[in-house]
Amino acid sequence: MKSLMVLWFLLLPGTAQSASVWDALSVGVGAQGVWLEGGDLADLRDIEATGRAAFGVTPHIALVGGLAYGFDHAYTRESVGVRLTATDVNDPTFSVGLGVSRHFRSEPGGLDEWAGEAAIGWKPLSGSEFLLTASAAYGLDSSQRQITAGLTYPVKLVRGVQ
Amino acid sequence: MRIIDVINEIITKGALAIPSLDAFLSGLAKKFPDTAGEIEEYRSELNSQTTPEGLLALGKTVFDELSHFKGLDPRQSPSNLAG
Repeated sequence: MKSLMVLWFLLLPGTAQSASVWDALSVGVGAQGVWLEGGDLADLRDIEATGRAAFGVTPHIALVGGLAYGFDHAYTRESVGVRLTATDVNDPTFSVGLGVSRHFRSEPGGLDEWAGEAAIGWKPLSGSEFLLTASAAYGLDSSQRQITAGLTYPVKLVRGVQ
Repeated sequence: MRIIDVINEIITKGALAIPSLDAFLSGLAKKFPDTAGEIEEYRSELNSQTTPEGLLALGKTVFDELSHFKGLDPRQSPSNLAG
């Protein structure tokens, strides 16, 4: 019930919301490849469907989180964390971020721990909202490396939100 | 207050300071004759800003620079959706 209320709140028409707050929220869905290697665990690669959300607390600090489903190995994984973001002033369609996230996983074999991470995002086409995204995460306990690269489509939920 | 009003106020107040700066440069040119030629170039460029056309061009430059940031919300940086 609580989840439904949150979802309803997100889907309310923008006119009922405070745009200044909601402008800091970004949500996207997409698909990506994921590669896991090194550390104490076996190497693994998969294709994932992803849903990501971020809230920019300040222009340079963002709370980030996401959900992914691996089609080949049938797992779900989640992450939530914080990133320091730097955006190119001359090209705001490109940015990089450094941060740390707590990763969770439904099946063994991947990151299920705190991980340091670096991410890049780029909106290459002016006529399209699609983003090219990539990230690298390093498990602080397992020393496993996780690399992702894929496409993300920003979703408008309320006025001003991508 | 709109951003264009802020720009207009900055330019208007800045224009008042131009004669003082021009007089200062003129004094420097007299004190250091060997730099007079170079200072004169700055003076002529400075004084060209005091004309209505100059102020208009200056305002347009400032506004264009600020417009560069229009729509930029770094809180929605693309990399935040990577992971």
